[in-house]
Amino acid sequence: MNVQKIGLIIVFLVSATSNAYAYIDPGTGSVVTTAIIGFFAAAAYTCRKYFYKAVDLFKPRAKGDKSN
Amino acid sequence: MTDAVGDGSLIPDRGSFRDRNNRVYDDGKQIIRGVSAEALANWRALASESFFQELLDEGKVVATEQLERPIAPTDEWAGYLSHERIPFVTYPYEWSFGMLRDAALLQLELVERAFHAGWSMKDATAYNIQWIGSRPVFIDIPSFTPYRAGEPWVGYRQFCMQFLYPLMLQAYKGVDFQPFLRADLEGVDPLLASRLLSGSTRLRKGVLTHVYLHAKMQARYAGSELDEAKSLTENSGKQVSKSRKMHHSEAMVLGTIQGLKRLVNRLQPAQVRTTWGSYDTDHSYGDASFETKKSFVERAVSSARRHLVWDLGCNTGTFSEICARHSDYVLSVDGDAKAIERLYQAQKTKVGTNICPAIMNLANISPGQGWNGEERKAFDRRSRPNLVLCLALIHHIVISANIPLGAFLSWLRKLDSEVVLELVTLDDDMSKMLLRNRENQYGELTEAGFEAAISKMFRIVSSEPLKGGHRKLYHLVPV
Repeated sequence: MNVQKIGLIIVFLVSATSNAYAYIDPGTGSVVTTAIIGFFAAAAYTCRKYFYKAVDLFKPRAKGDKSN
Repeated sequence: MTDAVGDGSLIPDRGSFRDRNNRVYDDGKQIIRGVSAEALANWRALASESFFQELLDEGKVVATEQLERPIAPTDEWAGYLSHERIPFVTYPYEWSFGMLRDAALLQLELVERAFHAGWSMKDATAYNIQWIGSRPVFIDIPSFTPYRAGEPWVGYRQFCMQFLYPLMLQAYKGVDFQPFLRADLEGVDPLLASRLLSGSTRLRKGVLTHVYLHAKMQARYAGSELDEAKSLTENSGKQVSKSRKMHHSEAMVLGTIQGLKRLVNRLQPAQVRTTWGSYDTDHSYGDASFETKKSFVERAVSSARRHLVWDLGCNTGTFSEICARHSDYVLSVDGDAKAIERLYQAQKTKVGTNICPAIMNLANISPGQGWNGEERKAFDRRSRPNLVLCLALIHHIVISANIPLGAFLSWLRKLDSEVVLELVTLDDDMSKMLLRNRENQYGELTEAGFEAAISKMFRIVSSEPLKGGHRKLYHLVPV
């Protein structure tokens, strides 16, 4: 399976609604590229977000800090 | 809000027309932006956002206020904003690697902070970033638009073409990006970038995705658009297909922007040794001559406070620093990208520096280009300097570039500014080096020849011999 096919599958998975209108043409190929890159970036972003949340849970709290 | 102070004669900026929602004008006192009803509503909402106020306070966005009253006779806009004036406009093809990288990081920071606050940016052109001294400032306020759920960041392609690919060319291939940006104001196309960043460079960070994949996708959809165009014959009964719908989640957009930030942060210029990259330590003067030269320049530039000084052939900016102490603003220009990069890196850490570096071959200055040859102004048609420094430059112009002395002096005279010039005669070792492999056809490059050439254009205020009489410093005023 080549890169284009993988890309098209991801695009299919994330495609739904919403048009992007701007005075510059973002370019269909570029929008598809951002969808593919964004798919992986979103996964990494979400992982990072939960990783830092998990790290925060195990951080020692300052004395007197009774917040949950 | 403030009252308009202009006299009503607004001169439209020739480079501000692409986005029909607004246009920039100059009334000679203020920079004014007319905005449509939609852009005005956006501005009002934006001005109340804390993230935007923080950007203004941090000096990352140009100081902007809404004008209270319309400005007669131009009342075609729903409202008007006034902006802080940029002391001298420069373009991305005049920036060093570090300048373009810092401008790219500012663009990404703005779009990320906007996105966190429910806003987006509708473009990502490098021309929206200017410099106040060595500090990048975003100038195009109507770029900020409310974020609509599901939208991609539409500036992605423009960001790649005008920031990312030029930086990658320099970092991964050691190729100067400035000629590419000067040749095509849209930037480096993904297909061209993919061809240039080929072979093993494909394995470098970000190339496979942002360049190769991007180019492949562009070619694929360009092919299908061509097929569609061919099928839309008069009798086919077919209609133009609708825009492709594609949902981008917030995590996708933010993840992409943050990934680009990490990528751009890691890019470093390939190391190349250049002639003047270490001028501050490698110049040809003895200590006494160098001190004489510095004292002469200091006396000339401190004789009055000038608004704008150009230091042409500034190298790493030793004399720009002297000018900066006595002037409002100094534009430091040199053709050596490494020297300008050193100057920029030294200046960017200084708070409130008034030195703006720029790369330019003075024998081939930036021309007027873009639409009607006016969208991007020629270097000598932007702002008139009050004083021009040309130290140890003239032998490069006359001998290396073969520009006749009279032609160069006429160009200087047209600037209608005071000039501090260092004449480097044919007897100087640096001239001899330049003449080593060429016929000497530069007889005018003597003290007598120079003074005869300037006699009808400039008056000599003061002069001082240097390096045993092989060089001479002049402070000139136009006549």
